[in-house]
Amino acid sequence: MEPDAIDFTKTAALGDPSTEAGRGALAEIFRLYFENAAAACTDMRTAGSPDEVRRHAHRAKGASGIVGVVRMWRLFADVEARAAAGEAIGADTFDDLESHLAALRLAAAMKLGVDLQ
Amino acid sequence: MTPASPPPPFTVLIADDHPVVRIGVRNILASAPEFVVIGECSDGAATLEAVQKLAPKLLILDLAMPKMSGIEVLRALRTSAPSLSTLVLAATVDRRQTVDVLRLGARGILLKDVVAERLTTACRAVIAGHYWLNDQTVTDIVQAMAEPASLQASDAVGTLTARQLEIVNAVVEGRSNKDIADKLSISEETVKRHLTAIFDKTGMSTRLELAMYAVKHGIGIEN
Repeated sequence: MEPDAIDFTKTAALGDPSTEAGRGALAEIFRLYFENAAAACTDMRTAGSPDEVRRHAHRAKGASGIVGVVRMWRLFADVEARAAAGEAIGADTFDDLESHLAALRLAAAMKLGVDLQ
Repeated sequence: MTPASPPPPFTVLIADDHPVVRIGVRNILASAPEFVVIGECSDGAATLEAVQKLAPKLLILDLAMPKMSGIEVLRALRTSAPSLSTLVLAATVDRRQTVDVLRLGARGILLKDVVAERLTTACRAVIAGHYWLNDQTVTDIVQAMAEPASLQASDAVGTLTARQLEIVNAVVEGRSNKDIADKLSISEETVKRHLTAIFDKTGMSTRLELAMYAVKHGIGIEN
């Protein structure tokens, strides 16, 4: 994983990993993030138009920014831009997004010491 | 003598359709004792209702929401809650959108990828009456705000009197007419007359446009 795939300096603002309450807060938000990001990928696969894909990508990008998942921010931004240009996004792109999400979910769980499944 | 009790916290309403954003903003504000989150909304219509019901001091507002967009919410609140401070959150925002939200009364815009670092600072700024824009955006905004102005506007700086420049400085600082009057030991009426003259000279029509004009021309920028 490249060093900036997840910006863990941002997670400090979301919850203190040295306390039980903080770990709970981090687990809640990251679990929710990965669930929603995976759902966004599914929604984009079944979207009826590039504009619908663009909206899902834009929304997922914003959430990625909040939790500091920089790699997904970039990937969703790329999909958003391509869809905004009217491109029909192929299944390989969504396969790629889901693959990155799975790797990042594992990396975040290990780093934060929380179960994100 | 008993110690003074701390001032009550500023009440905050969070409006964003994404639960991760709402939880993230709530968690970040939980570390700042001067703020208390009193409500969360996931669409524009519910946001309007909650503002009326809860009367928060600060609204943290997403632009892309179902039922009513953030822009539509701002437009409605402009008349129904003119004293509300609003900080807009956006994943990305273009120059025109930025100008639109500021003209509709928002006090600031914060991009979602810097929320963790800057949210509390931005909230403090807009509650204090300042405008908060991501540094990178300021130049663009200045250009966009200046576009409708006449070419004569850029020549107007030299025609402003020393007193008028003091007032422009105070507007850039986000001061109200009363604050300016107190600071300069003049009446509010005199401040209004100066502002009218300043607007006439510069071609600006609002305090925000004047502040942006001042930034562009290096008036009132100490740093």
